[in-house]
Amino acid sequence: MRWSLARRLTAWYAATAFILVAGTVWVQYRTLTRDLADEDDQLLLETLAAVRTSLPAPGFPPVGNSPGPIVRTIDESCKATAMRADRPLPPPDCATPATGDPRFRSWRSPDGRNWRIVSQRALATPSQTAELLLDRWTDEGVLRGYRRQLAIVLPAVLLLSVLLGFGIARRGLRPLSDLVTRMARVDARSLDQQLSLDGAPAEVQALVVSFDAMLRRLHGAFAALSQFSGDLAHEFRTPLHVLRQQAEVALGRARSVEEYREVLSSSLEELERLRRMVDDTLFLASAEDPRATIERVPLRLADELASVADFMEALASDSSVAIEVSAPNTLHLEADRLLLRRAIVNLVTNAIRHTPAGGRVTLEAQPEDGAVVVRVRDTGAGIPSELLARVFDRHFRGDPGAAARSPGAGLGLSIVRGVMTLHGGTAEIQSEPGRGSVVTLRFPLVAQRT
Amino acid sequence: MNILVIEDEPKAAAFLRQGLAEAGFVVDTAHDGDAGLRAAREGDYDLVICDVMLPGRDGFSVIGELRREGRQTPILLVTARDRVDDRVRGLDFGADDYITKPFAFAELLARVRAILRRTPVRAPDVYRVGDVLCDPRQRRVERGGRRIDLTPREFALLLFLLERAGEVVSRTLIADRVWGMNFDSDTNVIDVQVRRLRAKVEPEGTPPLIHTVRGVGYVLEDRRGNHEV
Repeated sequence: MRWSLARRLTAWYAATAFILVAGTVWVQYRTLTRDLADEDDQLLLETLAAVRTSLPAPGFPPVGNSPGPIVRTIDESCKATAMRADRPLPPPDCATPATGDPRFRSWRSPDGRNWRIVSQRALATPSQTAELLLDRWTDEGVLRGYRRQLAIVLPAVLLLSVLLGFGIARRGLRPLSDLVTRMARVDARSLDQQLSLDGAPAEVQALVVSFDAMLRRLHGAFAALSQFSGDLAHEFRTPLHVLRQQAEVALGRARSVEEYREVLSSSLEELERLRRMVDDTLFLASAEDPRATIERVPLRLADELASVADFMEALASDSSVAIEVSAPNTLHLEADRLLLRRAIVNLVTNAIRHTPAGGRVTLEAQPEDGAVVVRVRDTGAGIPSELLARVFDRHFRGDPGAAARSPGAGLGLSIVRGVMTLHGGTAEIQSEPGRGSVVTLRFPLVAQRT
Repeated sequence: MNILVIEDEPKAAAFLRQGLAEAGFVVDTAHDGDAGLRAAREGDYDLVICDVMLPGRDGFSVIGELRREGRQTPILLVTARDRVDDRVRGLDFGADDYITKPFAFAELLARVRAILRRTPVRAPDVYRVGDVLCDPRQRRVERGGRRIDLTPREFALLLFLLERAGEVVSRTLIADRVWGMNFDSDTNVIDVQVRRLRAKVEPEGTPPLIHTVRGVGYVLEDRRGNHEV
């Protein structure tokens, strides 16, 4: 199981606090131990100096039951004489050198008491050694008490730091859990609302800002989608209305075979229109699917443009519009042949439709800024600039009357854009009212061989 | 010629049956995958038309099962989804051809006929419909003994219609086979092309040869006889 954020933070807080406290305590304990030992040594040295000068007439300080050091003398034959012997004493050190500084040593008695011992030859009678013995039991008692306290205090500190850490983590994470609660309330209908968690800490605020931005994008996409379904339903309504009307009227009374045939033929035409709309809509949907793949083959653009011109030539000459192709013979493009042709046919159809007799439609291809560019140029009426931005939108018609004349559903230019999306390219349009329009298809040269 | 239609939608099945019967085929129908598989095993069919989306066993499974048993009956797959992977999958399973709903019945009929005459018939040296004579090798067309001059594309269009004389061909099919434009477009260029061809092969005073079938496409046939479409 993964640890929750609160749990991890608590663990880190508690561990850090405990290590800091325990470390501080340890340093203090060490200092205390050393200070006590230094004090003892100092006491021993001062007493030794006094004892040493008074020898060989011992018998003074300290005497009686004072907790101070025990004085002992050692003669040449290593015989020790202690002033006081109420407990086992450390063995005498007979090897104290004749001259030199006081010698310190430590000794641990069989019953577990630690002794600190200093020895030096007497000043007046160097054959004698003066020895001072300090039982450190009392000092160590202080340390033992200290340790006992720590055994209680340290676990308490640990427990407290866990509790505090948990509290802090909970408190620190509260903006996050608030955020989660708010996010959980977001659904398709409330996409237009923003989280806007005022007063949240900077880290959470960044999250809120990105989430709000995502909400806005989703809202836009949803709005476009619902606009599209609305338009689509509206487009479907016209042929459905025709179908329904003519069937009802036809069934209204008995008719001749010719009349029935006429109705059925007309129905077939409307149904064909509906089929086209469904197919085109499906194509547009698949073009927006990021998983959609296309079949790229190397194409010579001059050939492709020529075959489109050949296909459209009859229509053009019917409208007295000339079609011209201009593309270098060496220019190649890796593209889906049918999709490319479909896009260009749609553009040329559009261009011919909007070009008056005597005009000209030009298909051009050329390399440009690391891309292959295909242009369809016409000398037609052009498009007012306020409509330019919308011509690639689905179901947009510059001229409402065109709906009746064209077999499609106003999806021609959307399909062009879909084709370009599938190729990772772009479609743009420029227009000069009265002089003509030019649509530019830009195929990026990535993965292209030219 | 016996055809088995496996289609679960009752109206669609009934119309397929009627249409194919009127085109001269003997038709049986099955309404789900298992019944279809049983019928295909027991009956002796020249062709199976199978929908992909069926209750129970789906179309892919029916085809796969038949092919595993070693049956070579030609199969035409009907898909509702216009997805390349669906088509590829169908052909992988052993379907001979596929058609996407909604399709023009004329289109289905053309494919059925194409599958049934898989054994390639040698293209005739000369096509003759009514008083029209066409020699593809010399690219020569005559009507009533008078030579007609056609552009290469007009000739290709006429030849395509002649090869399918009596069959209704859709505009999309013409655009595909004559110009390599296999897609729907918002253009009526095929109508313009056919009108031009008509103007040349049907000069004043001659009976019409190329007929418009409203909502479907065109058919080339000599209607001076008694039959009528």
